Amino acid sequence: MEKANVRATEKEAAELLLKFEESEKWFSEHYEELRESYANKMLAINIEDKKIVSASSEIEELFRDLNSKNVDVNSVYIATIPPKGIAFIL
Amino acid sequence: MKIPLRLRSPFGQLMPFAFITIRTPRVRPIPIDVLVDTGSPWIAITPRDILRLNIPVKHLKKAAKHVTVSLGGFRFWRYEMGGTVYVKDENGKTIGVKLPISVLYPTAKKWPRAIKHIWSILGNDYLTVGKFHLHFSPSEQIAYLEK
Repeated sequence: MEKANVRATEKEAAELLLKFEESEKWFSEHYEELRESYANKMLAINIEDKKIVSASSEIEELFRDLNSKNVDVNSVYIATIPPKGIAFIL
Repeated sequence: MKIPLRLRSPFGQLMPFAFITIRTPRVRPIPIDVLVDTGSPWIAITPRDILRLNIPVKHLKKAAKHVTVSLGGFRFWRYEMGGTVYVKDENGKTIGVKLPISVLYPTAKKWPRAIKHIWSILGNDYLTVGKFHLHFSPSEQIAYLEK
């Protein structure tokens, strides 16, 4: 029973990872056009239809907005677009 | 077994990213994308993902060694939590690696805005514990983990 639960959890995790990968792919493909409109912002992208649900320069504000719209944070891919002219060397 | 990585070029050069899910109590099991960075000794979760995953930093202990860390020009306290890090292989099967996970919390009381743009990182401890090889050829646009 426990093994079956673990398998179910792993299957769910794999499905969720796939949805997020698809969202990230969409984000990468549209990065240049999104950067023009959303530089220095964080975007919440619906993992099902790839629509931008919310955008904000502050992540706390983004979460507040998602909460006010009753959007489940598990259902959105959060992407960040760095400010123009700044690069991060880690 | 291969784990494909995603290549992105946010600053004009390709960088390898992976999607991971962290499983540990009181943390949201939402996938996050992390930069595969062999310049980092550890897997490290940065502020934007601390907020996203709702990691209870107040309940974590600071690391015994290397308690302050510099990343992307910012300074952080390094906390640690246990957990299992899942990735997906090329066949869609999840692979879990159990290890301590560094959680980087800014030392500054007021967080600089840019700090929340820094990616979380998959570092060398993950490659070591998981026994992964990293294959990265930006000129051929190939990136994957293998074991």
